[in-house]
Amino acid sequence: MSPFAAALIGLTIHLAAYAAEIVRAGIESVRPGQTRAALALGMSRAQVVRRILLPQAIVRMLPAFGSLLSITIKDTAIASVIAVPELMRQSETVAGQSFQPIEVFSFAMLLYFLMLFPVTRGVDRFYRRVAHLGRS
Amino acid sequence: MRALPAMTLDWSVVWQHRDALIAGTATTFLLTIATMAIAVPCGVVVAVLRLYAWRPVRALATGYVELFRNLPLILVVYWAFYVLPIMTGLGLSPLATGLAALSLNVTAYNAETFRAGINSIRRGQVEAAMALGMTRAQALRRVIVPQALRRILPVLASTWVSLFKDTSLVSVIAVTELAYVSMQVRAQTFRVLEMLTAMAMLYWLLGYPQAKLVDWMQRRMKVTE
Repeated sequence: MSPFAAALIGLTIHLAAYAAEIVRAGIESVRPGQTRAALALGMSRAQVVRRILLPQAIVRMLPAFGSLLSITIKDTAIASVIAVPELMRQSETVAGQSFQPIEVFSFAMLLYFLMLFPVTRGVDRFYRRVAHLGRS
Repeated sequence: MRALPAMTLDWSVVWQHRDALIAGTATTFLLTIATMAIAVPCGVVVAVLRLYAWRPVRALATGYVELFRNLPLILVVYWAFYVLPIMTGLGLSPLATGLAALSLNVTAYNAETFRAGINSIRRGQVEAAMALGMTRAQALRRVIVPQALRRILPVLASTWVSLFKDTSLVSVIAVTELAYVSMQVRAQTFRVLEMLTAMAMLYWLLGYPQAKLVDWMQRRMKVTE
């Protein structure tokens, strides 16, 4: 198995557990009274999920998924320990070859920050625009 | 990669190296405790600076938090490893370097936790306290902090659990904590599967009770204003 595939599988297994918790918490955040009311109105369970639960739950999951996205980007750096040639690994290589670790790692810091800051800010802004849709 | 020795698993290797593994576990706990001991007071300071300080200082504190929350921890560890000895002029041990990197990271998260906790208490409460003749400091100490603490503690506890797992990252600069020790035994004995499984089980056995404790705290300390 290639290091890339191993890292992909490892990160996926790890982050899927967090994603599952987010989905669970999002669905549980919708009051059970709403499900009962929808069932009482004659909706099927599938309809309740599609029309009542998910529209509210998905909006409420957004901030958590946003931070999971930035955690994912940060965690990809750990793939460097099994020699996946991503930014972190390449920085180590360049730092070792050039004997200028301070410059190289500081530059890598700048690159990671430039990648991640817009993501966290963008997710925040997007959530603020749609937050009202998740209220009940 | 070396082929597995005909898939015969020899778990005795774990027991043979129990002393090293126990010492590694102790270092892992030491790192977690020391990091929190540094990052909680520092987090309070940064949060207070972010909320109440003179504008340029506030911007500086915000910049610090945003920077370290948006960097991979493993990069901070490497960076500290190369930069700290030059910046401070001291020959720091790997443990001290790892501790510094973890503290820089967790302080940023804690500062954000404290700030959010303080902000979560409605403004009206400070205004009411000040209308009753309290000073701003009194209002903070008697009204805001006692309530904010109940919101902050569960979050700090989950940061603790993440930190406990994240200490494994300082193994890349040869801090002899649980992950590094396991990798060393693995390299010496070539018992790859056994050691990685043992390491995973140890982290799980140690981490799971802590996570359950956090869940309990979160249920217990739910605040309604």
